[in-house]
Amino acid sequence: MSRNGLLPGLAVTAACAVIGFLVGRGIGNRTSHPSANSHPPHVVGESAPSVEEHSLAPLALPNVTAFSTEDFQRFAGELAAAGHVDDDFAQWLGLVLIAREDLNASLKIARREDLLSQWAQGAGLLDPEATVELLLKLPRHESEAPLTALLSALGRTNPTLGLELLQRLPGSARPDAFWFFNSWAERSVSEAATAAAALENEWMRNRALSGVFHTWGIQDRRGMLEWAIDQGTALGRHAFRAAYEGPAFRDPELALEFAQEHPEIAPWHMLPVLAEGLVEKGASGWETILALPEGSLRAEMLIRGGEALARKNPEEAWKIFKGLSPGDQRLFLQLSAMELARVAPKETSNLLLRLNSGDTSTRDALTQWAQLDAPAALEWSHANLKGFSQIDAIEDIFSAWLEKDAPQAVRALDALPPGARANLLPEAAEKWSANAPSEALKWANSLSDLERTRAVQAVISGWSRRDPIAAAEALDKLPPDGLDRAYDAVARNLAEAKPTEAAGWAESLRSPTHRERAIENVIGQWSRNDAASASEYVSDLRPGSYRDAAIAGFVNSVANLDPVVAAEWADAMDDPLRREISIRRTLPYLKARNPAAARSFVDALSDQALREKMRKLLE
Amino acid sequence: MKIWIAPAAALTLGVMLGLVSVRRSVKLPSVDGEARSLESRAHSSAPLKPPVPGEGSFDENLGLLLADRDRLLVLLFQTIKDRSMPPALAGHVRKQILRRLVDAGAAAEAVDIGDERQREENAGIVAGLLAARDTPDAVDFVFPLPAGSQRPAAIREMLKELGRTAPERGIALLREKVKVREGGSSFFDSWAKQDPMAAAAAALALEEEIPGSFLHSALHRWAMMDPEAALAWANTLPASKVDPARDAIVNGLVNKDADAALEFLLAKPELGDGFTDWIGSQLVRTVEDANALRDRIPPGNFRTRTLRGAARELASWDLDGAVKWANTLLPGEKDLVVAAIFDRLSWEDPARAVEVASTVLQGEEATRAMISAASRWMSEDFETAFRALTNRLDDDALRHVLPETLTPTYMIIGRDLPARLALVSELSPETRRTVLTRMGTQWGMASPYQAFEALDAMPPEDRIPFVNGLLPTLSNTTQIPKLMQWLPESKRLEHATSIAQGLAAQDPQAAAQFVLGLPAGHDRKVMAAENLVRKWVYADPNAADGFVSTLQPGREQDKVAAALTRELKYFDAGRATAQLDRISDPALRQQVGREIADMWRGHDPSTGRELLSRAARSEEEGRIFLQALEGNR
Repeated sequence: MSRNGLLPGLAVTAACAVIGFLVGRGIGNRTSHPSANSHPPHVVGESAPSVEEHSLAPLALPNVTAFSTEDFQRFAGELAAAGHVDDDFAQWLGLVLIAREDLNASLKIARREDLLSQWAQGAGLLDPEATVELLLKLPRHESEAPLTALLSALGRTNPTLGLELLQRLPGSARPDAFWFFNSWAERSVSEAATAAAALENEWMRNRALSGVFHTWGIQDRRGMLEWAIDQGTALGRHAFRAAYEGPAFRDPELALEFAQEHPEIAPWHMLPVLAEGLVEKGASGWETILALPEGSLRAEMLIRGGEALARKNPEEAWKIFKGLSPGDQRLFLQLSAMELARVAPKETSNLLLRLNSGDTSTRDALTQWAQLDAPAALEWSHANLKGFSQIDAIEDIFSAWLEKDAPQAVRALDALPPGARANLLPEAAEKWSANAPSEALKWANSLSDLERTRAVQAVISGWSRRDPIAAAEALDKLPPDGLDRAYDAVARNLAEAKPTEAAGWAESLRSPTHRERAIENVIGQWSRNDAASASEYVSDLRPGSYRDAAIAGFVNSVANLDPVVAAEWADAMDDPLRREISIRRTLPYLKARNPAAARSFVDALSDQALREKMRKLLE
Repeated sequence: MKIWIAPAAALTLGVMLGLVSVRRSVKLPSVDGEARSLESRAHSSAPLKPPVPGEGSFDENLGLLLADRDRLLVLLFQTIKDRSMPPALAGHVRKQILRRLVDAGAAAEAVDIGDERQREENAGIVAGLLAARDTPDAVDFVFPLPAGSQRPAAIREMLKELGRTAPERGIALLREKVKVREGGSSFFDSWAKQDPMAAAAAALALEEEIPGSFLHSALHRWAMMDPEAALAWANTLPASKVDPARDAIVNGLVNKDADAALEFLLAKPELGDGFTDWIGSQLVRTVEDANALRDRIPPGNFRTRTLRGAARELASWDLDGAVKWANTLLPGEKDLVVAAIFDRLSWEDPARAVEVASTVLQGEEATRAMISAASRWMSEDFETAFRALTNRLDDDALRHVLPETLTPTYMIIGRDLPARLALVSELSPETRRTVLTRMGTQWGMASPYQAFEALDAMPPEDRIPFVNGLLPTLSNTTQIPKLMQWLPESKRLEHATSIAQGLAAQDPQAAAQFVLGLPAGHDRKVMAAENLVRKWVYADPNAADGFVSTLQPGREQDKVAAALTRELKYFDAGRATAQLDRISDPALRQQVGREIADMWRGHDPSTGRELLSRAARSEEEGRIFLQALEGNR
C-alpha cells in the first residue's frame, strides 16, 4: 500500500475505533448494575489501550434522531452500505441506539421487523427491568424468545440480576432456565453450577443444571462427569444425559468409557447416540466398536453403528460392511439392510439369505430394491424365498412398487395367479386411487366380477381420504351392492372435514341400510372431533332406526370420554336390541370410572329384563 | 478491499473495549454458604479450568503481532475470550473480524481459535462467507474440517448462504456431493425465506433424485410465513407426500405461534391431532391458562390430547394445581391427563411422583398414575425404583404396576444383568412370572441379543415365563426352534400360534406338522391352525385345503375350514361355497354362508343363488342363504 493510501486508511481506522468504543461503552454503562455508575469513567486506553489511540479522529455514524421504522431501516441500510458491518450487525446497532433514546419506539420497530430477540439483548443491556416489563405486555408467543435472549445476555453480563429476574418472573412468562445458566456457565462454570444446584424449584433446577452441563461438557467433559458422579448417582445420570444429548458433546469414546465404568449412570437408550457419534469419527470410531469385548454391548453398537452409517452414507457403509466377519456382518445388517440395499440390492439380499439374518431385514432390503427395480426384486423373491416369507416379501415389493409407479405395478399384478393377487388388490386400488382416482376406478371396473367389488371399494376408500366430496359423488353413481365399506369410508372422511355436510349426505342416501351405516360413521367421527356439536345434531333427529344408528355412532365414540352421557344416550335408543348392545358397550367404562353411577344407571333402567341382565354384567 | 479491514476491526475492537471498560466496574455475584460448599466440592473433585485460549495480556499480544492479519487474529482471540460480552454483540463482532480474515486469506487459522463450540461457530461463519463468494472455495474449505463438529456446522452455513443468495448453486452441490446433503434442511429453510414456493417445488423435485427430507424444511419455513398458502400448495402434492407435507406445515406454525396453530387446526380438523400435545404444552403455564384452553376447544380427541400436553407442562409449574385441575375434566380426559402429570413429575423427581401417586389418588387412577410415575424411575435407577415399589405395594398391586413399568428404556448398558435378575427373583412366584414375561417381551423388542444373554443367565424355572414373553416378539424366525427347546409341551401349546407362524415363514408344511402334533381339539391348536390357513390359502390353496382335511372332524375341522373359506371367498367364490359342506356345525355353516352370500350379492347374484342353493343342507338353510343374498340379514 502506498503512503498516500495508507494515511486515510489509518484515519478511518482510528475513527472507527473511537466510535466503536463509545457505542460499546454507552451500551455497557446503561447495562451495568446501578453501582457501576458511581465509578469514575475510564479513560480511553487506560485499562485496555488501542494501538491507534494517539491518532484517533471522529467519524459520524448515520443520524438516529427520529424513531420510526423507516428511520431505523435507513440507519441500518446506510451503516451496512458503508461496508463496516454487515446487515445483521447494522440492525442490531440501530436498535440499540434507538433503544437508548426511546425504549418503546425501539420495541415497536423490533416487533415490526421481527427482531424482538435481537432487541431484547440490546435493550436489556441498557435497562433490563424496563425491557422485561415491556416484554411481559406482549402475547406469550412473542415474549418467550426475547425473554430467553435477554436472560442469556444477562447470564454473561450480569448474572445476579438475571437470576433475580428469572425467579421474579411470573410462572406463565418464565423462560426456560437452561439458556440463562448455559450462558452464565460460559462466564463462570463454578458460579453457575453453584447457583443452579441451589435453586428450589425442581424443574427449574434440572433445566438450569442441564444448561450448565452443556457448557461445562465442552470445556471439561471428564471433570464434569466426575464431579457429577461424585455428587451422587442422580446428578451423575443428569450430567451423562446432558452430555450425550447436548449437541456440543461429541466425545463418544469418553461416553462409552463412562458407560462401561459407571453403568448405573448410562441408560440403554443412549446406544444409538453413542454409535452415531462413533460413526461420525470415521475409521477410528469403527475401530473402537470392533475392539469392544464380545457381548451384548458390542453387538448393539455394531447394529446401531451400522444403522447410523448406512443412513448417513450407504456407499461407505457398504465398503465397511464388506470387510467385516460374517458374525459382525449379521449384526451390522440388522437395521441397515434397507440402506445397504440402496447401494447393492442383490448382493445385500443374497447375504441376508446366506447369513440367515431374519425376515425383517430381508423384507427391508427387498422394499428398498423394489423402489429401485421392482421386477428384479420380485424375480429374486420367487427364486429364493419360501413359505410365508415369500408371501410377505411379495406384499412388501408390491407395496413399494405401488407407491412408486402404480399403473406399472398394477399391470404386474394382473400377471399373478388369483390367490396371490387377491391379497394385493385392495392395497393396489387404494394406493392408485389416492393419486389418480378416475384411472383407478376404470381399472377396478375392468376386473373380474369377484375382484371388481373389492377393488372398487378400495378405490372409493382411498379417494375419500384425499377428496371425500368427489368420492361421495363417484359412489352415488355406482350400484350400491357390496360397497358397504366404501360407504363407511366416505362417511368417516367426509365427517372429518365437513361434519354437517357429511350428515346431510348420509340422510340423502337411497338405501336405508347404507343411510344408517353412513350416519353411524358420520356421527362416530364427528363425536371424536367435537362431541358437543355431534350430540346437538343427534338430539334434533326424529326417533327411529336412523336416529338409533346415529346414537350408536355417538356412544361408540364417547363411551370412554364421558361414560355417563354415553349411557344416557344409549338408553334413549328405540330399538331394544340396539339399546342393549350400546348399553353393554358403555357399562364397563362407567363401572370403571364411577361404580356407584353405574349401579344407579342400571337400577333406573325401565326394561326389567334388561335391568337384570345389566346387573349381572356389573357383578 | 484490504483498506476496510482495519477500520472495521477498529470499530469492533472499540465496541468491545467500551464494554470491557464498563464491565470491570460490575460486581460479580456472591456465593452463599451452602452454595459455596457445593462449589468447593466441585473444585475438589474436578478443578474448573479457564477456556483454552488466553495466555498473556491483550496489550502484549497486540504489541507482538504487527501484521494486519495477525492483529485481526488477536482481535478474534479477544472476542472469543471475553465471555462477559453479550452473546449478540460477541457474535456480530466475531463475524466482522472473521469476514476480514477471510478477505486476508486466513480462513483456516481463524477457525482454530476458541474452544470446541467456538471453533464450530467459526467454521460455520467462515463457510457462509466463502459460499457467498465462490462455491468451490467454500467446498474446499469445508471438506477438510473435522467430521464430528466443525464440518457439519460449516456445511450447514455454507448451504444456508447458498439458499439465501444462490439457490441454483446449492441444488447443484446437493446433487453432486453426497457429503453435503446433511445440510439440505438449512439450504431449503434459507431459500424458503426468500421464495417459499420455488424452494418447496425444488425440494420436492430433489427428493425424487436423491435421499433426504428437503420438502419438510421448505414447508416448515413457508408455514411460518404463510400457512394457508403452504397448505394449499401441499394439498396438490401426490398422495404419499400430502401427510408429511401437512405435518411440516403444522410443525412450522406451532414453532412460530402455538396459539395461531391451535386456531388453524381447529378450523381444519382434517389436519388431525398429531401436534396437539405440543401445542398444549406451549400454551399453558398456570391453571387459568389451562382452564381457558379447556373452554376453548370442544370435547373430543383433539381437546383430550391438547389438554394432555398442557397438563404435562402445568405439572412442572404447579403440581397441586394440575392435579386439582384434572378433576374439572371429563373422565376420559382425566385418565390421560393424570398419566401425563405423573409422567412429567417422574422426570423431575420420580420418588416424589410415586409417593404422590400412591397417596393423593385412589383405585385405578392411582395405579395408572403409579405406572406413569415409576416407568421413568425404573429406566433411571432400576434398583431404587424396584425396591421402592416392592416396599410400597402389595403383591396384587405389584403384579399390575411392575410389569407396566418395564419399558425398553429400563435397560442399561453393561454388567447389571445378574443383579437385576436377582432382584426379580426376590418377588413372589406369581408376580415373578408376570414380571419375567414382560421382561422377555421388552427385551425381545429392544435387544434380542440381551434377551438371549439373559436367558442363559437365568435359573431354569425363570426361563419359561421369560420365553413366553420373548417368543412373540422375534422377527428372526430361525430363532424359534432354539427357543422351543426351553419350552415344555404345555408351553408349546400356549404359544402354538407364534411357533406355527415362525415355522411357516420357511416351511408351511413343517408348521402344519407341528400343529397336528398338538392335543386334538384344544383351543390353542385350533387358533394356530386357523392362523396358518388364513395365509397359506393365498400361496397354495390346495395344500391349505389338504391340511384342513387332516384335522379332527367336528369342532376343530369346522373352525379351520371356516377360516379357510372366509379367505377363499375373496378369489374363488365357487370353491368357497363348496367348502361350506365341510362345516358340520349348522350355526357356523350358516354364518359363513351368509358372508359368502354377501360376496355373491356384490358381483354375481344369479350364480351365487345357484351355488348357495346347492350348498344348503336344508330348506331353512337355503332360505337363510338366499335372504342374505338379497341383502336381508
